[in-house]
Amino acid sequence: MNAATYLEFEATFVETKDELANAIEAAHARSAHVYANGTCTLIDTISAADFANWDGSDELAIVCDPDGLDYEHSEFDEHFGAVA
Amino acid sequence: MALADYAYYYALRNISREVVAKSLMSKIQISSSHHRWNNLTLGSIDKAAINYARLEWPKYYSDRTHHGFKYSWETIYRKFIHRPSLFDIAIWEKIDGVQVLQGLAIGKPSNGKTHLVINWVERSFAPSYLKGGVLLIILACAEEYAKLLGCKRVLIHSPVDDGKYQRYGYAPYKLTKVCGRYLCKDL
Repeated sequence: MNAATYLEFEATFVETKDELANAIEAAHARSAHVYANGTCTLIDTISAADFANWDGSDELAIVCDPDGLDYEHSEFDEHFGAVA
Repeated sequence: MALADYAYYYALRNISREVVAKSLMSKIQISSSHHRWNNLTLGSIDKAAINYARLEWPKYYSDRTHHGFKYSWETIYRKFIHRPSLFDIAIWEKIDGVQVLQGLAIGKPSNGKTHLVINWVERSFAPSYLKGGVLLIILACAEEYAKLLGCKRVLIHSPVDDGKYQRYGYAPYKLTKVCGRYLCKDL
């Protein structure tokens, strides 16, 4: 590896690390913005009494996309545009 | 740039799970229902989850429950992983010192991030299945992730047993030019 290649490699390496750190920082900034007024999840909307007796054991909890795995031609994506 | 995209959305998914975990913890503490929700781990779909679903879940497939999907979870996951903004979750419960996979879910947002669609969900049918069920956790995580993405709603594509989703606030959703069956909840 000559000096020029080494410098290029080092520069790329540093840039990549910064990109990742910036991405994670951006995610936390987004979270702070979205939750600026606190959080209210689906779980929070359930009363304590209902939650104490919550039973989901009879739920099938099965979702099977009838489009299979052909997401290149999903009708939903055609309607709203391809996924990023 | 793609690596940064993966990091950004991975962090958002992790934050959404942390928010739901905190919510669950605070609810458990005031409702004395810890036996239903104890020792849970909310994580990403990984090799351990895929292997567990492949090796352990089929032991409890039957005519009364479910016979598995046409595709393995490995195949499903590979179809989604190239999209950094995918939604995924694996729900584990530690039972007698052993990690048991209780549920898996995967989905993706629309291009403009206006909708998050849940495309695949499967649960364990073992006798040790989580009493509270996995839907509450899956839907809560999907909704929090959708909020972080800026989505207006969460959709579920063709769930089995639609009626079970009503108590979570989901109702049938009609789209012009789209024939698929969706349940929807506005955020």
